[in-house]
Amino acid sequence: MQTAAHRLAAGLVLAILGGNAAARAPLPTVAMLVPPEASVVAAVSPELPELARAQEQLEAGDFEEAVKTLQAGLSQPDTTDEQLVELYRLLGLAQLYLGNEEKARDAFEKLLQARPDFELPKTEPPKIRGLYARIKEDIRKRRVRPVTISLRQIGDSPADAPIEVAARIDDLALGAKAKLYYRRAGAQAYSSVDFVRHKASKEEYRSVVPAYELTSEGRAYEMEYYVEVADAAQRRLAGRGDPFNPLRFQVLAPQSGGGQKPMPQGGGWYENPWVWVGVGAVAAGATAGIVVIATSKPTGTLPIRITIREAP
Amino acid sequence: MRRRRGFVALALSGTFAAILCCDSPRGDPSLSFELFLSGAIADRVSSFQVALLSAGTALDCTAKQCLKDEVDPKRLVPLQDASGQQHTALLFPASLPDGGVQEVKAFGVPVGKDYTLVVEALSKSNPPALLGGSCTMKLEVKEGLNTSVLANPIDIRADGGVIDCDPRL
Repeated sequence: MQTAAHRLAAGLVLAILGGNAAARAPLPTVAMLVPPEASVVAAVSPELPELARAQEQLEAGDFEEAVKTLQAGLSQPDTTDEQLVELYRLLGLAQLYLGNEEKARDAFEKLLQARPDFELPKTEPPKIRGLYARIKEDIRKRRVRPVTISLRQIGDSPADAPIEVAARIDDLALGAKAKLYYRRAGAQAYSSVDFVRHKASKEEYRSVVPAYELTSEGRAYEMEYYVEVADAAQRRLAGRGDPFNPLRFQVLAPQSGGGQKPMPQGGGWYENPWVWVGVGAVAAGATAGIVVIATSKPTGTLPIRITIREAP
Repeated sequence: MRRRRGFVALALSGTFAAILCCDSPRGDPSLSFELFLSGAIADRVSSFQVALLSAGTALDCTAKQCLKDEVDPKRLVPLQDASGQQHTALLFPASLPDGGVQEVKAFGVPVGKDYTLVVEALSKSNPPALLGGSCTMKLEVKEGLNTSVLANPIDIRADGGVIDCDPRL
């Protein structure tokens, strides 16, 4: 009964938002509000069940439930930027359909914090695109600036030494925090360290990956990391990399004393596990190399001539 | 009469050749009129930041603000420096040897069309501020060494004014 009532409400709201065409065929128009980009999001990152459920609820006209589902999705700790954008976009739409323009505005503002250059697809109804444009303009006028982060990426680093990571974070919202997440490549979980504000500058921050996390192992290995600024509710506001698309650096092997492990006495070379580790590594490397060569995109070198002049 | 006309033509071509010769050591006539520049303006530039936006990325080139405040850095095309290191944008110390034109190179640019090149001039202050920037649109990058692109000129205010943002990406 409730769903039927909401379907009717959806039809009425669509009649207001979308004009006569929407009134003639309300449900297909609701479906149009969930563009095909959503399925692309699901394809490139691990699925967020809340997104799919919220889309179904929106299509069914169950806007209140969709809001609850989307808020549950936003409270998930490991959402990617793309998922955040989609969650806030759908939340904004759901709130609009419930008549909560202020809440819709809040959702779209959050969307713009996560992706300042985000534009709604042209398939959205003109009324919604118009509201979105007004919100963007308001943000510009009120100088509500999105959080931005500039990070000097970590280069290959020696083992057994801490790594200091410097970042510049502008317009960090009150209550928001920046963290560096890192893990050994292939490990399940990330460890994290906070970014601490530099005493001399309000925008300069630093964090340190402790030396004990970068122990020497006799050979180089890879670390994965990402930086995230999140608000008090742990919603991502900005970042570099994410849990599923982390940045990487190598922890280098020690230069001296790099001798090979002694062969076990009395056995053939094939009994030495290090031989097979080496063979496996070479095979994996060759396979990876072939894949990289086969899939790498052609690149070019671009010479650029720069000129300056006095402003008129 | 024909002899006189020939003399005038010879004199004109000689003068033209002299201008090309002396103003542009590279022998590139298209540059000769763009080299003039006030030294005072050039002295205020510490470095140039070069970034490339992929096709379809919305950018308001008239906005007087830092690129990083306008576009998510994730939308920038990764570029390599001369050592092969990949960056979101390349930073080149300013050096205007020809009195106004500096040639830099971006490596490892993915082949494509409709790129937008954004060059920003950074001040010598700490942190640096934005002196000015320019957009050059509809660029195509082909495989291998491309022909040199003349970026649109960067307008810098003579009164010492800057745009109050740190452009570093």
